[in-house]
Amino acid sequence: MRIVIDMQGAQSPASCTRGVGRHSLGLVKAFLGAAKGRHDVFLVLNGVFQDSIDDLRAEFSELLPRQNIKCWQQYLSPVSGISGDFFSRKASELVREWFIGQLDPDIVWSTNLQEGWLDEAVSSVKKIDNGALYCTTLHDVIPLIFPKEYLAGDIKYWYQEKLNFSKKSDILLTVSQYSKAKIVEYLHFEKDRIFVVPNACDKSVFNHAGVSGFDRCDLKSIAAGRYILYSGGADKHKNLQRLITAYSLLAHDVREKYRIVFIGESVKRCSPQMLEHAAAVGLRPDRLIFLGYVSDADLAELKRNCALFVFPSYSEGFGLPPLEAMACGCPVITSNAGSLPEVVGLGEALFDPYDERDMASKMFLGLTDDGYRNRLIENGAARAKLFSWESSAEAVLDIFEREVGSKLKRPRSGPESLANDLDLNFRFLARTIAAIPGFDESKLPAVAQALADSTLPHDGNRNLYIDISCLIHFDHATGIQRVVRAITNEFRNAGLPGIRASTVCSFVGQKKFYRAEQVNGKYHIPEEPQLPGYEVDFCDGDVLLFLDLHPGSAISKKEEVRRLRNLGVRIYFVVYDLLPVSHPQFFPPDMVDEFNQWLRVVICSDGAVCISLDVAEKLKKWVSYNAALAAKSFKVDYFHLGADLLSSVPSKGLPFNAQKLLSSFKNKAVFLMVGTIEPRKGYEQVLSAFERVWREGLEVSLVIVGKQGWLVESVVEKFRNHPEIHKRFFWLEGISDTYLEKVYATSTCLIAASEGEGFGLPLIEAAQHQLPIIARDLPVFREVAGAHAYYFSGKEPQDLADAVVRWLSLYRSGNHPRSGNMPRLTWKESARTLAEKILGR
Amino acid sequence: MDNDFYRAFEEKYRGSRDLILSRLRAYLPFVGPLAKLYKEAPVIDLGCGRGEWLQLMAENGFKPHGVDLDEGMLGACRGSGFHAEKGDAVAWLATLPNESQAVVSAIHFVEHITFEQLQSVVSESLRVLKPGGLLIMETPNPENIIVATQNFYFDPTHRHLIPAKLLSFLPEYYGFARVKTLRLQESKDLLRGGALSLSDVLGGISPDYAVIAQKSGVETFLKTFDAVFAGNYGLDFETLVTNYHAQRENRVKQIETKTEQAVAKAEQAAIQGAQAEAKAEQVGTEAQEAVVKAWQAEAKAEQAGTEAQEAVVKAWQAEAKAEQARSEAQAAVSKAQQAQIQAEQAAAKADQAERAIHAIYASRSWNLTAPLRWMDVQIGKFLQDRKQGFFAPVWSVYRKFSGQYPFSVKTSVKKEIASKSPEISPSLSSVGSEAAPLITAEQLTPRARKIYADFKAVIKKNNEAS
Repeated sequence: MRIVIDMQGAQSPASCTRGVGRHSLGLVKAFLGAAKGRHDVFLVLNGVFQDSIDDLRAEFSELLPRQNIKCWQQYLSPVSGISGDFFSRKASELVREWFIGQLDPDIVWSTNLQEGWLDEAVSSVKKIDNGALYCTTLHDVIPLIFPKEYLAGDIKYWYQEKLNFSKKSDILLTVSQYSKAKIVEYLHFEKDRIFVVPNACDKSVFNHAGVSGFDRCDLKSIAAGRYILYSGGADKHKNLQRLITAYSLLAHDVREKYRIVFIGESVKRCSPQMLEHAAAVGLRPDRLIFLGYVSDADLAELKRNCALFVFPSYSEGFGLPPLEAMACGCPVITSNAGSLPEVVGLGEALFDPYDERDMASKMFLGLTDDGYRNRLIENGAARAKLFSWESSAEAVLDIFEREVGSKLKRPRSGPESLANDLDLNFRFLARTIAAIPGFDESKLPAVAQALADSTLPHDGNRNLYIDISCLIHFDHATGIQRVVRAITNEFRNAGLPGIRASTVCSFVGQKKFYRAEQVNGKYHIPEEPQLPGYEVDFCDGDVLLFLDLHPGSAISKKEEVRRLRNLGVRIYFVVYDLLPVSHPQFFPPDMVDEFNQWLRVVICSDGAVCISLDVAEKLKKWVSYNAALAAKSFKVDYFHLGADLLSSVPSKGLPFNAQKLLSSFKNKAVFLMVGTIEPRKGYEQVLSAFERVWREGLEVSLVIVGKQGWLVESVVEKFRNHPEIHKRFFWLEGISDTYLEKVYATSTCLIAASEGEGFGLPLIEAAQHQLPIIARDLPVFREVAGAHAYYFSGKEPQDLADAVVRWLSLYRSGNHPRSGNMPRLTWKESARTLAEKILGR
Repeated sequence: MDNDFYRAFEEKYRGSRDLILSRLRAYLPFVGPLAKLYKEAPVIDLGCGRGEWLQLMAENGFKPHGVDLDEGMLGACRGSGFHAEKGDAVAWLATLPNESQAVVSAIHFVEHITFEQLQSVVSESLRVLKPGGLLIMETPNPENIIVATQNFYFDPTHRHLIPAKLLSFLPEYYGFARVKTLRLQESKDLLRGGALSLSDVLGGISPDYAVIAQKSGVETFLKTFDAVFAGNYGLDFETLVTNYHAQRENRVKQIETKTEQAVAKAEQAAIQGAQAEAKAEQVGTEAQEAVVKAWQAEAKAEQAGTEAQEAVVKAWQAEAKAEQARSEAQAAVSKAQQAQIQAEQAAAKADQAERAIHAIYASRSWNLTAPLRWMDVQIGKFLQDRKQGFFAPVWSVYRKFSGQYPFSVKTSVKKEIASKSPEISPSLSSVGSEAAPLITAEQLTPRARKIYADFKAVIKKNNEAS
């Protein structure tokens, strides 16, 4: 059967750090383990909690395939109970139910309906009937037991509504017998429709074995002292004031020895009132310590080291903190109220939460009586064994299987009937929304957009969008752009199964993407009036590949990247090199700055595919320095470029003096360099090296093919005014691909003297033309050329001059390394590797 | 009085024979010289009782003779082999010849007779004693309070107590040469001078005393008695009371001294206590000040933290603004490029058109078609219109696209802050929520546009139907 679990209980700021949040994560994780292979489980997340989506996807990445975590969007706000407006909330509830309906579930399980009073979560039950069974976890009805405290004001209507939803549920789960009894008492729910599935705690974190050290440095000194510990919320029913009073009743020397430590964000916020009360009962303020929020690992360590754990709550649905403390092996005493006796079990560990003296006397025993302490610890160990997420999850699964089995099992709808259902649902939805009191026409676009962004694809096809913005805006025929052209071509022709590949373009400072068309070998986007028709509508499951390097555009899309990823789109960047980071001296400072900003956007995506292992390693290192900014599921991978020039749609054209030049190359040793004139390419060193070689009288020629880049004015001056220009030294600027082919054909050796490269396409191209190579000894060149090149090292001209002379002698004797057998990919193969990396997962 | 009763009474209360004997030895130093002077001197014991004195005298070289009224007592004396006669002792004394006795003893006798009888005893003793002879009279000591109030009355035949001053005056009056009062039978401890208690004061003074009177005689003989007559015997009232008082005074003085010391120490302790309290208060105040300072420092740190965060926010805002400016500039650049291209194209087209016109002008057909010259006017107009048209769309595109950023920078920056600083996010995102900018119909993506249109259609249909 198909089970859809609403995970807002793990997303909302109100619940994610409290018991409900732990329950949502712990139980659902165990449930996924139990249901694996037996049932189809989907998790649905509310897209309004933008920061939680990525974290939760990462949290569940091992347990669930990526496509089983879906996210719906909500664009009306505010919808919170306390400050939202009615129409917005109701409309958003309907959107959510419609979205869930698309998954055609058998069971819809909400881990907590009571979300959305202070935040933007929404929940409802059976507003749209899609035939599924609804299961709700109702943790407790504490507000009904203490209405004056918790249900004063508007919240009572909101709460009542949520309770009504609970009542409408087919299966009600709760976490303790006490809660069940109270639910039956207050809601008159039938006993056999409520099932008790107890909470548990994460044994891998909360256990006896200590981890050395704390994440937070200030905790070490606190843990070294002796302390009584409380962790949990600060609601009135947690009864912290009486705890402070009870502490003040302890003997003076006991209080000198043991302080009380409070853990919990809300407790910290209430600390001024609590300190006031402490002063009123004659305690020094230094006896109470408020630690605020503490990570789980630190929390477990603090629980291991405490002298006594006290939980004085007078009404609890379950009581996770004492269970965690028992699992950590410290003595635990709690009140005898609510569900706590079910959790703790041992009578003598319980006290009357309304009687400070009883509390104080148990605290005193717990601190000083060794026999009592040992009994508490033993009890704790035994009780902790009884609660596990695995057994609770098995129980839930049993309940589901029983309940669904007993109802009429609907056959799973095929795509057509599903589409029909959705269509019907859609019309029903429109009418229902129009009928909501407070209907506001101006909010309709937001509803429409939310529905659009929450639509799940039904035809099984995914879109692959390849962003080639730079190519479209500025076609400079750079190396990168040759790669972009080649790969794009391959993707278009590849016919990837289940994938529709299209090229897109975007603008700097704007979030929309537009489909680009290829006309006469050139990519372009239509004129302005037709542009909206080419707008890309992203959908869950689509893949967006930033193939081109357009930092400005990507940087301005940081938010959009996050939004699209939340939507369910997978986003990848191709990273060509990390040169502005590793060799910033070769770039203008603005460019370095922009590049770093671009990298910060890259790490917010699903992954970067680098063009060599070398670049991948460098990127991993950069990421490790910026780990806090990276998305949780960001991965670094690499692929190698291809090099069949012919299939990359070459440019054509030979200038009139080309033939003359080419014929002059015959019978001479012609050394070739290909690439844009940039400082890092090492042209200066090469030219100076050859000056030395010529001084020694060797008859060799140097041909440089490449346009002028940046920061090379002096070098270019040198080129133009060189004594050997047009004699033994030639500089061919901006020549067509076909001309370049011919130059390759007539050259003797390729020199790759770059001080840093992302890949080294010229090496492959040289190999294609069977041209031997002299390359600088860089890891990336080793990666690409292996043993098929001759390597030199050193930044002095003499170093290269010596290498050239040595190579020449090897060449004369035919012992130079050949490049012909260099392992290389075709563009087709290269594109296929890239496709695997981005589509395979 | 029944003989046996008195004897039984005496048996019980008088004390053992040995005890009496030991007590009576006190007189031996006095009578000793007499035994030397008068060999086998006769001694008369008035009221001889059980005969202990008779025994002692006999052992010490005297010839004792006793007289008692009690038949039972007499029997005991005769049984021990002593001369004892029944009769009235006082009357019997009168029958004795002058200067016949060495010692006349009346041990616990005089308290049994009347005062007249006593006077008679004393005067007759003087007559019958040899020169230098001794009259010994022992009787209970009234100074002893217990004796005077209780013990004296144990013997029902006792008449009354006789103070020492009275008893010792009698021999003086009747002409004895010297009289000595001895106090007797006191506790050795008290005599030594131990600690006195109240009961000692009441009952510790010598319970008995004796008056020993000596008849005048040869001076040298009398001198041999000087030593014994000069001695101090027993514990008298004054001494004991004075001693007791002195002891009490001493004790009180000791206690007073100790009390003073204790008071002094207590005062000192109080002073030290006050000093310590003052110090503790000071420490307490300092601690409180430290706590206050720490809180202030914490507040300052929090403020600094908030200011730092605000600075970060400002920096991000500035960054975002710079980004926006940069992107706008880039967009402007690309638009300018596009515009330039289009301008060039327009220019080229204009060029072409001009050449065409020139060609027409230059052709012969122009002259032939003079009537159709109205056409060039039209062509010129046409060219002008086209020139305008090329530029307008480009700028409108730029303007339209530059505003198309649905989520304002401000909101996105705020959300970034919320995600990066969990400390301040609760106040931002958990307590209520602010309205996100509303999406308008123009901003919709294609799919959303379709849905929006469908919605409106359904709603319109609904409204028409109702």
